Formats: sequence, structure tokens, C-alpha cells
Amino acid sequence: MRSKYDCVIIGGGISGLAIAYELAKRGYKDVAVLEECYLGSGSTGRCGSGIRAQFTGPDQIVLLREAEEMWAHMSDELGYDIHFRACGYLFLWDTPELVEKAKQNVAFQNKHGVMSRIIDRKEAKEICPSLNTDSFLAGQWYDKDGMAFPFDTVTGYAQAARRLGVDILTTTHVFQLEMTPAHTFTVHTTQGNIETKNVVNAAGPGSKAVAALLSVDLPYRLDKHQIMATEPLEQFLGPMLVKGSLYYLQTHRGNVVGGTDNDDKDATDLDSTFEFLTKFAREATEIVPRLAGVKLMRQWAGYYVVSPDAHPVLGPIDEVPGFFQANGYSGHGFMMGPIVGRLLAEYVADGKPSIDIEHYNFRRFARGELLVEKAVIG
Amino acid sequence: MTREDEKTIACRCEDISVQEIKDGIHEGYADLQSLKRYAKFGLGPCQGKTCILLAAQILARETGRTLDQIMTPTTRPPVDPVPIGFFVKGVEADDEK
Repeated sequence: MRSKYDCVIIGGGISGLAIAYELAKRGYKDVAVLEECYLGSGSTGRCGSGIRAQFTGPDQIVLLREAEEMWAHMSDELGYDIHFRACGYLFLWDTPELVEKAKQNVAFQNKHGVMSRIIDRKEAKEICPSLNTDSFLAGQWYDKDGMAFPFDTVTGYAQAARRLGVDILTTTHVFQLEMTPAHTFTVHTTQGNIETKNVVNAAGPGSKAVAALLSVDLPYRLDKHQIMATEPLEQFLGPMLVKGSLYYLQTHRGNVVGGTDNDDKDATDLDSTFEFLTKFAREATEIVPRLAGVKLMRQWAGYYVVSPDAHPVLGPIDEVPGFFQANGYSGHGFMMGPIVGRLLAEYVADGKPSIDIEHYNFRRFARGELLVEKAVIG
Repeated sequence: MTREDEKTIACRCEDISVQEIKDGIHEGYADLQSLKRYAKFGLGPCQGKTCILLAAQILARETGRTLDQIMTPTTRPPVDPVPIGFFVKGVEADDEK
């Protein structure tokens, strides 16, 4: 660690590492990433690993469509296999009202270049032979949605960023941020102080506390979301399945990984509960009965950092020049990682991102200009 | 690198050798949490009951630390793998006893 950098990124999850990599790739190499625990130890390493563009809000659809193009080439880009696979997302709808709404969503997604479509039960069964076709009326399918392996993605980004000269420090906690008269920041860490021109807050569940160090009040709520992994099996499932708040997929390693919502809002712990297992087991076996015989190996939990409109805060803070936000993803931080990395690097290095994301700025809360998104899963 | 380390399996569930664990350590994964996730041991059906302590010992030896300086990963429920169907009845299953 040096005592001076052009940019300090707080948070060693996918956001912080992707931003660091994209900065270095643009020749902006005087960058440090500070992680308080180990890389990927926050929400990235706890996530369900799904990647989708089937959202309901136009902003999310466009960003995730771009992200999916990046994901598809990410292993080559980073020189490390992150195990991206376009397994597709299959949403299952079980009432006529939900099917009608899905038709509208599909039309809207198609308009924005995400070519999802409504499929009947027969086609759903062809895509996922294990499905119980009595458990839904119609499916909503997009074959470019997919998954990647979170820890391999973290490793890939970290190794590529380090090769380009980025310093990545783990077990380094930031406890104070000071603005200096020269419009720089002093970052006080457990490993010593750093002077820097720019600070990026990519601290996931810790983002609110980091922003508070500069008197910025991010309006976030932490929700606990539980998840489980089964024993590894031969590939049998196919796509990511979603029904209501239930979701699961089969990773390249063969484990079925997924969860469902237990309504743990404003959570203060990440304890695993038996109630989650019973709810998940009921919902999961209803759509794929054969899962009943599959052994559940472990369960854990992570935080969704939920913003008032379920969209992240991206970009600079008007009142604190040089202080950038990349947080508040409301459960979608992993899938957005690559595009956030690119756009935030463009903000820091060029002052302007190549896709207009001004409406993701923190100022939208004060102005009451909230964005719209209904499709939050799990 | 020794032939013995290559042939000695530390994680029986995932077929990870002592050498693969040492490689991870020498690539800079000097804490057990990251090492486990990088080298991918301890993630199989036994959930690390066999290999986590072995890996901790190797890590301690390779990095000149004592075992109590190595933070072991969180143990996740359940203790042993349980078929998902068992949980479907949930709390009711207990009531029936």
C-alpha cells in the first residue's frame, strides 16, 4: 500500500473490482481497492449467481442487456474462466392475471432489445424436462439470461486488475474519510492513511456506513435473503427457474443453488433459519418434484441493499465532488457488475459515462424522481 | 512440488490434492476463507469435516503461523446433507412424533 493514489475504491466485491479493472484498462492505473475482509466476502460471494435482462423497468432492461453482452465474453476478457453460461431464465406464471402481465412485460422488453417471449407448458417442459407442468399456466423465457460463478468472477477481475497495476488490499477497514482543503480525501484505514483525489463507495451492505463518513445519507434498508446449495448432480435442470420469489439454478459444478423470500426486512443478522428451508422445500418441489430426493448440503444468507425504488445509486454526489457511489443494487449487484465497472470507470476517468445513467444519481431521492422496477426476486 | 503432494488427496469429496492447496497458498491466498473458495475444497457433501483442518494445518505450516492464527470458515447447517423432501412437511413433521 502506498500513501497516495488517484482513486481509492472501498469494497472488494464484484463492483469494486470491476471498476478497478476497467479504470486500469483505460490507463488509469493509480488505483487501490480496500476490502475489510476477504475478496467477495460480502453480497457478491453470497449471491444466487443469476444474470438476467428480464426486468420491468426500462433502465434496468437496457443496463442488463449491455451487461449480458459483456458477461458472454468475460472469461476471454479476464483470461480466467468465470463459468458464464447462457442457461436462460424461465419464469413460471400460474394465474391468468400474471400471464397477461407477463405478456405486457415481454412486449416492453422486446421494445428495448431483450427478446424474451411467452411459451406454453409443452415448450417449457422441453427446456426443463423436470418441470411439473401442473404447477403453472405459461412460461416467460429469455435464452440470453444466464449465470456465472461469483468467486471465480472475483478472482478473474482481481487477477486482471493486479496485472494492470492495481493494488488490492484485504483485511483493510476504512473508519474515517476526510475532505482536505485541496479538494482531496484522506482515507483513514486500519493499515494507515491514504491521500486520494477520488473515492468510490462500492462497499455493498457497508455502503451506508461509508457514505455516512462524509455525511451523505444513503436511504437503504438491509434485507436478509437466505439461500441453499444441494449436493452436486449430473446436469439435469437446464435454465434458472423463477416462480414468485422462488428461484434456483444448477451451477457448472452440478449443485442446485437458490432461495426464496422470507420477508426478513431491516435485518441485523445473517443467521440461517429452519423456516426458510421449509418454505423453500415446499415451493421448490412443487415445480420440480424430483428435487425432494436431492440432498441439501448447506444454507447461508446475504443482504439485499434495498433502495427506495429498487435501483442502485450510481455516479457522483453533487455536494461532495470526487465521491462516487456504486451501491444499493437491491439484489442485482452481481449481474450488474461488469456494466457498473465500465460506467463508473468512465465517470471517474472521463467525467461522463458512455450510457446516460444520470437518472441513477443519488439526487433523484431529494427530487422525488424515483425509478420503477417490480421484478425483484428472492 | 513433490509427487507425494500431488497424489495425496486432502478433500475427498472434491478430489483436491495437497499440492493444489499449496499452489493456492503460493498464489497468495493466505487466509483459509479465500483459499477454500479458490482451490474449492470443503464444498462437497461432507462440508469440509475431513479437509478443513488438514488445509488449515498446511496453511499454517506454509505461512509460518500457528493453527490458532488461522480463522476457520463458518460451519453452515445442516450438519449432514438432508433430502429436500424432508423439509416439505416442515414443523409438522415434529408434531407427528
